[in-house]
Parts: sequence; structure tokens; C-alpha cells
Amino acid sequence: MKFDSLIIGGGVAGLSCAIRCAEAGMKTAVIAAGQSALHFSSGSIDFLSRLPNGQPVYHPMAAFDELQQQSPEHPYCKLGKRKVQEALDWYQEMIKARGIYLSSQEDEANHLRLTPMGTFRSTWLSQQTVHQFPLTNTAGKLNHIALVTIDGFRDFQPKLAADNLSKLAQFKDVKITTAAVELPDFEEMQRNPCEFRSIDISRVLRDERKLHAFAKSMIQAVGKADLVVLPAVFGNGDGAAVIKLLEGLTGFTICELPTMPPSLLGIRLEEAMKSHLKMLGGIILVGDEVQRGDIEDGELKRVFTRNHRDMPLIADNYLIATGSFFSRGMAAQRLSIDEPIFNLDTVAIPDRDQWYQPEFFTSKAHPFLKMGVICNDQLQASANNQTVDNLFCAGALLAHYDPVFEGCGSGVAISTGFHVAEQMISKHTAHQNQNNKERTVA
Amino acid sequence: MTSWLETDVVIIGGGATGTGIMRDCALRGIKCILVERDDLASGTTGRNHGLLHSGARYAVTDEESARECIQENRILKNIARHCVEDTQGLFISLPDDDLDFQKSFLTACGRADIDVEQLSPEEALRLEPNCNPNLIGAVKVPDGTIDPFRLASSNVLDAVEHGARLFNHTHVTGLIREGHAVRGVRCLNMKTGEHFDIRSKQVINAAGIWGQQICEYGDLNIKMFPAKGSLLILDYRINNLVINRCRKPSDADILVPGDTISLIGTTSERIDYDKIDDLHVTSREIDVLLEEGAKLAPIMANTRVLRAYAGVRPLVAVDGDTSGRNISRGIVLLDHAERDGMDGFITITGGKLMTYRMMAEWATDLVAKKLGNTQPCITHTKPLPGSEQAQKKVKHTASLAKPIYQSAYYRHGERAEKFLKNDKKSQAVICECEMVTSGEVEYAIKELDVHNLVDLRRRTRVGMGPCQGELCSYRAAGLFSEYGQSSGTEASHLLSDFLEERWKGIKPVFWGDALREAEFTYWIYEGLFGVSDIPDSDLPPLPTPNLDTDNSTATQTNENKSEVVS
Repeated sequence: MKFDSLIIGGGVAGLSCAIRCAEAGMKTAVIAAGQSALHFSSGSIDFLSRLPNGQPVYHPMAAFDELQQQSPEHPYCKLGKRKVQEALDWYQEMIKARGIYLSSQEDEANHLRLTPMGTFRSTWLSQQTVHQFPLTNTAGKLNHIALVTIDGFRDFQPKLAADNLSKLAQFKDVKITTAAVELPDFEEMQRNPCEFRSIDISRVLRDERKLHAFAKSMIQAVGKADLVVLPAVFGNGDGAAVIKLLEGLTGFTICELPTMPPSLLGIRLEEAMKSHLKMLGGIILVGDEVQRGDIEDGELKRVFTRNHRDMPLIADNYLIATGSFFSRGMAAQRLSIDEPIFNLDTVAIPDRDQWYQPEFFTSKAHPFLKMGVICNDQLQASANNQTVDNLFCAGALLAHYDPVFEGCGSGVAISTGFHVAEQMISKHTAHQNQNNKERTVA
Repeated sequence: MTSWLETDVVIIGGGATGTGIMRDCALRGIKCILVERDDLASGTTGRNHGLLHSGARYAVTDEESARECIQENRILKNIARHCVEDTQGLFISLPDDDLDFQKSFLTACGRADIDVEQLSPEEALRLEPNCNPNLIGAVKVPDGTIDPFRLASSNVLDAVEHGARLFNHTHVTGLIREGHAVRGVRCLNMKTGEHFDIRSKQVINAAGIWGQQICEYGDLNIKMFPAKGSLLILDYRINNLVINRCRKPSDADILVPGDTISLIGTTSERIDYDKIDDLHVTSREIDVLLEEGAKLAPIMANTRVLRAYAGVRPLVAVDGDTSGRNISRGIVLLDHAERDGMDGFITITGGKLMTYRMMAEWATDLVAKKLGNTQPCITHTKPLPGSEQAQKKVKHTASLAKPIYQSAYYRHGERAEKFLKNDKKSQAVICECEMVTSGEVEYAIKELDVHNLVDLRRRTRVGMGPCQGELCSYRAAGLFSEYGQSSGTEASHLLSDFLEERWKGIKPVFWGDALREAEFTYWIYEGLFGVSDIPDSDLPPLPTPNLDTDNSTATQTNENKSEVVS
């Protein structure tokens, strides 16, 4: 099988790159091994919440100079501010076409999203069903927040969140209450509803009769509140519409929180990107995995996958966006780390005792999160210190940034994926022009 | 004014020995209170192989220990069925090993009354397909496994049901002394910061390696020589029989299955006494354990390591020896009235997990004699709570799946009936790796002296499985605010403390899947949940126990006695 661009990895970085390539009319395929990290993400887009030295970032766009100072090899610094901005603008527009409205604060500052622990994480774009708490004057005009769960649901514990939230100085005058709403037909269900995960509940509430009954119980259980916070347990990609309906039925202003996995807010983004890609004619090879590839004279010639065995997949250009350690994009051995498919060049910290901090939750970053694959400013990978011209890399397998500590995971994934696509497109266009010229000459 | 309690016997230390004494006293009608600075089995008791020795390991070098082991082995298989798995064990000889050793091993086992059976390599491999196929000989022995957490907890449960009291998370900060007599202990409740006294006729120091400190409160000189032993927990149960190496005891020569996992250990290294609360498993130890372990079962080389931990053996110098040459590995019972002229104070130490019951019997015999109690010991015949076969199994509904009630009976025996109820909330599985239900967590919080998620893990195995508490720790934290006394913020701190505690064991083996799992945990709990920003709890910060090594305060108490009593 032959493609213009072949993308290894079906997460944010891979899908962003694939969609952009498909938009440009290229024959594009994505090889997705399984669920991506979106299944346990917030569904908000982090741009840059903290600088590597820990300093909080107010306006990500205004922090580029400082980032360049502190971390010149950061993927953002390889791209530059303009390209990152262009990528994030593109992403917002693209995903809007699928009914997900990502927005930032009006002044393009970061905002805070409430976590299930009742703490806050800084982010840049959130979906329309997520309440944006401003960085300053965080409580705003809210007088009463109700944290509501589904009775018996294990993966969102509102009491923990409520107690923690009420301890914050900004919320000392805000009334914070909790409530649990029973699922309709609780007693009659065959499976124990107390063992439901978010996605199981979404299936129950897809039934409109049950949603109506749920809305009724909700009004009773909650009483009055300016803002009702619910765990993300709605919809199958169309959660925003279900919440709109529920708001109409209850009269509440409702916002969602991501839960323990699976996170429906993240899955919503993945579903939107996948269907968009398919609509554009892109191919997704689900459940397949690249096992090896042939690199000859600084070019990746072909790759072999588990399902296609000895039938190679061939493309003009390739992207590797297989994620970090958890996603198996990187592998950590007892004494070294490596990139398992192509054995690409990596940056590693030699002494394993230096990979982590003594405490798990700490104000410092864990160094292992910055280990990964090396690339040049064009995001081309290298093997044995030789650049592989048609193999690009993007997303979490890249070295030199910390998605969690710096709060920049999805921003880096989108912008590196998009930037790789732009280069693939211009190579493709140049190649076609060349062909056309040759044909004309002939 | 310090509040106080009164009892006959105070036991210091909630390990196997201390909890064993607590039960023995209670069953003989002796009033007692046990004080433990952390949680039950949180020290050496819970930091070993969990091997139910047959005694074979000691047969060649120490016949007395071997005899004690096989005797207690038989007793525990009877009285602690829910804590014991009768797996049997193999002593394998590899090409590097001397078959002559096997000969003397067989003879020694026979002398110590240990039933052994010599097997051909083929027979051994049929019994345990994962043991090294290059073995040249094997002997089957009646080894098994024992869960030290359940063991300690069951002893306490029985003791409490017979009138004893437990204070865990309580530091002993000093001894109450009247001249040449000990008349109780001074305590600090680590959860509330409250100081209180317990007056008693006798105090038994069963604090294991920490017993040296306790003796120092009484100006008594005991020299302990801490020996650190490190172990690794593997992600799967890769062997069903205990696999030992048939040679002189050495590093990493025992591979023990336990519930859902296997354990390889140990190393042995002398450490300074001031390091006993600051144990680290070194990279060198990890290397030794992995390399030697793979010789017992080559599959180990491809098995994920879940975590590493270390314990300290309490070796005691006897007869005032301070050089460490004259060390006892056996049981040491010191009557300080006789030895040092200090009335009302007894130290029991040394020994092994295997012989905890016997140690408890000796100590209780001594204290009973002093108190004039003539009731006989019955701990060798009376089953522990949970050990009896369930009388009637709970009505199994379709929703109560077999793995759930079987896990519950496996861990709690007949006591599982207390929480296996026919209601959906209590049946909901909280920990999917170990099949722990919400009802089991509620039972543990309300009835098994559980104060935090680490305690809960010891009672129920929550968070011990392959995911190391990924989802269940958050869910279980929620239950602490539902069934326990914790506020939401306290429960949040229980969660972060638990994950911090897990992290200690993960750091030494931070590569491969352990690294992957930790990265995932970090994404969820830090990235998604923002755990490091949990606000401070309302509770006062944990007190630092002001360990009272001089006696000025104790003397003062005596002077103010009338005031204290009123």
C-alpha cells in the first residue's frame, strides 16, 4: 500500500497532522494501535501554563521569549510563536466544524478549569460545556456552586472536591453544596449501576425518557445553584448537545468535569477528529502497530505492521507520533531508554536515580518526562546521528518538554503535528509541480 | 492535665509478636492494651517474604530453629487457614550447586522431623513448570505462604473481641517509672496530637528492632544489630510452589508466590541503627535480586517488577556483647526484673515471623506468672477469626460474582459474611485488581482499625495489584469521607499520602512497565486531578513525637500523681 503521508500514532499529534494533510488533498493514512491519551485527558487544550522554572504563565503568547531563554530546545522554540499560533487557530476552526467550540478568555489569557479534586489547573482552550474560571477574580459572580454526582458512581467524589474548593480564599463567600442523583430504574438494572464507568452512564442517559427522569430528580436533589458541576457522563461524542438539553429541562447552568478514565471530554475530541479525518478521505488503520521500518540513505523506505506482516506500507513522508512511555512510543530499560520502532536518537539521563524526584507530588518536574526523541528544527528525526529526511516526529515522544509540569501537552501535540503536515504538504506540492513541469517539458 | 487509662499489661509493638501476645493475654483473661506507633504489621512483620517456612531452610545450620518452624507451620495451617496457603515448596539444585549438600539437607530435614520427598528434575518441573529447567535435583518440602497483614489483624480482632484494646498510630514516648519499676507508658496519639498515659502492672516490649529505643527509655542497655533485607514484588504469580535454592542460605534464593503476585528475596546487609527508619533499596541489590532470581525461575527475567521494599531483621547481641559477634538469631526473652532489677518490664525479640505465636506464648507465660494468672495458653488450638470455614455462604445473587465472594472469603473467612450483603452499593467493586468491594472497605474502616489508605491496603489488599492503586485509591478515599470520620480534604490527603507511599516502592524499579504505570498515575492525579494543589487540612499538623530519652518528665509525673489521677 502506498500513501502520500503515513502517520504512525492516532493521538492528538497524529490526527492533527493527518487531518491537515487530508485537507490538502493528500492520500493519508493513520496507524492507531489503540486508545490514545485523550481517553484520560481533560478535553481542554493546554498551551503553556508554566515555564520550565515553575513560574505561572498568564498569556502564553507573551511567554515565548522567556521560554526561549529557559528552554531553547523546547518544541515551541523550534517552531516559533507564529507557527504555534497558526496551528492552534487552525485546530479551533477545524474542530468547530464538528460541533465542538473551543474558546479561550477574551484577552487570550490562560484560564482555570476545576478538577475533580476541587483544585484548579491552568489551561488555554476549553470546550463549551466547561466553565472557565479566570486566573484573577476566580470565583467571579458565582454565589452558589453545586457539585453533583450520580448516586453510587465511583469515579467522581464531589465531597472531596467541595471541601477542597471551599478552603480556597477566593471561594470563602461562595456556598458550595454537593448532591447525588439516582439513575432512573436504578433497582431494575441488570448490571450493578454502582460499578458503571462514565461511558456506561452515558449509554443509560442517551435514552430521552431516562434523561427526563434524571432531570427531574436532579432538580429535587440540587435545589438552587448558580452553577451545577457534573462529571462528564454525557453523550457519545455529542455530549454538548445532551447537556444543552439537560440545561433546558432543569433550568440550571451546567458544566462538566473530567472523571477517572475514560474521560468523555477527551474522547469527544478524539471522535470529532477521527470522523473529520474520515470525511476528508483519510484512512485509519485501527488496532494495527508498526513493528519495524527500513531506513536507507537517510530515508525511510517502508514500514511493516503487525496486521500487514510482510506487506510493506510505503509513503513519501512519515510521521512518528507514538506518544511517550505509557503509550509505548518510548521504552525505558533498566539502564537506557529507546525508541522501539526505528531506534531513533534520543536524549536520556544516564543515571536512573536522576529520572525522578524523591516525592511524587512535588513543586518540581520529574526529569523523565523530558526524555524522548531528538529532532531538528524541521522536526525530522535522526537515527545513528543521521537525519532521516522523510521521517518527522511530533507529540509526546519528543524530548525537551514536560507536558504535565509545563501544562503544554496538547498545544505541543497540535502545533508539532500541524507543522509536520505543512512541511509534508509543501514537499508534496513541490514534487507535483516538478512532475508537471517534467510532463510539460516532455 | 494528661488523661490516663489503666490495664494489667501494655504491649508495645503491633507486629506479629505483639499482636500474638495481645491475643494470648486476652484469651487467658489478662487485661491488655497494645500500642503501635504506625499500623499493624507496618514494620518487619510486613516486610519479608511471607513465607510459611517448613524449617527446611534452617535444617542444616540450625536444627532448633528448624524444629520450631515445622511445629509452628503445622499449627498455623490449622489456626490461620485464611492467612495461609499450603502451596508446598521445592529446594532445587542447579548445575552450580553441590549435590552433596542435598544429601546432608535430606538427612538434616529428617532429623528435624520435616517431611521431605526427593524428586527427579522431571517430577519437579511437572509440579512447578516455571522453575529452572536446568535443575539437577529437587526436594519437596511442606513450605507455604502466609499473609502477615491478615495474621496480625486477625490476632487483634480476636483479642479485641476478648476485651483487649488497640491504639495504632500512637507513639510510646516514655516509660512511667517508679523507682526500679516500670508502671506503664506515656503515649502520643499521632492523629490527634493528644498525650496520654497508660498505667499497667507489666509492660512488654515487643517493638522488634525498635525495642532498643524502648529499652533506652528505661536506661536499659540492649544492643541490636539491624540487618536490612530487600525484596522485589513481581507483577504475576509466576510460581505456585515456593522455590528455594538447595545450598547454604544466600542472597535472593527464595521465590514465594503470594495471592496474585510473586516475591523474590532477600539480600542481607548490616546497617547502622540510626538508619532503621530510612531504608532504601539500592540499585546493586536490585541487580542481585534480578540476576539470582532468574536462576530459580528464568521467566522472572521477563516479568514486570511491581515494587521493591526492605525490612530490618532484629538481631540481638546476647550477654552484654556489644561487638556483634555473639548474635542470636533465635528467640530472645528478657525478664528485666531478673536481668536488670527493673520490675514490670519484659522484652521479647529476635525470632521469626514463623515463630511469632511461640514467642507470644513464652512472653505471656512469663507475664501470667508475674500476675498470678494460671490459665493455660490455647493459641495453638483455637482458630483465629476468619480461619473457620464459613457456616452458611451468603445468598449469591447474580450480581455478586464468584471472584468477588471468593476473594472475600479468601481474605476474611467466615467473617466475610459481615459485609457480603445483598445491596448494590456494598457490592460495587472498588479495587478491580484485587476484587475489593465497597462493603469490604466499609467493614475495614469501621471494624478493623483502619485510619488511612495504607492501613486499608494491609487489611484488604486495595491497591496491591498490578495498577498499584490507579483507580481504586481515589474511589476508596471517597469511602473514607462516606464511612469514616474524614472530611473531604482529609480524604484527599489520605489519597496523596497513599500514592506517595506507593511511590517509595516504585522508585527503585523505575523502568519498563513500572515507569509506564507511574507516568500514567502522574498524568491522572497531577495532570487531570491537580493533586499537588490540595489545600491544607483543618487538622493541626502532625505532631513530632518528642521522644523522651531522659527521665525528667517521668519523674515529674510521679510527683504530680495525685493531680493526674484526679
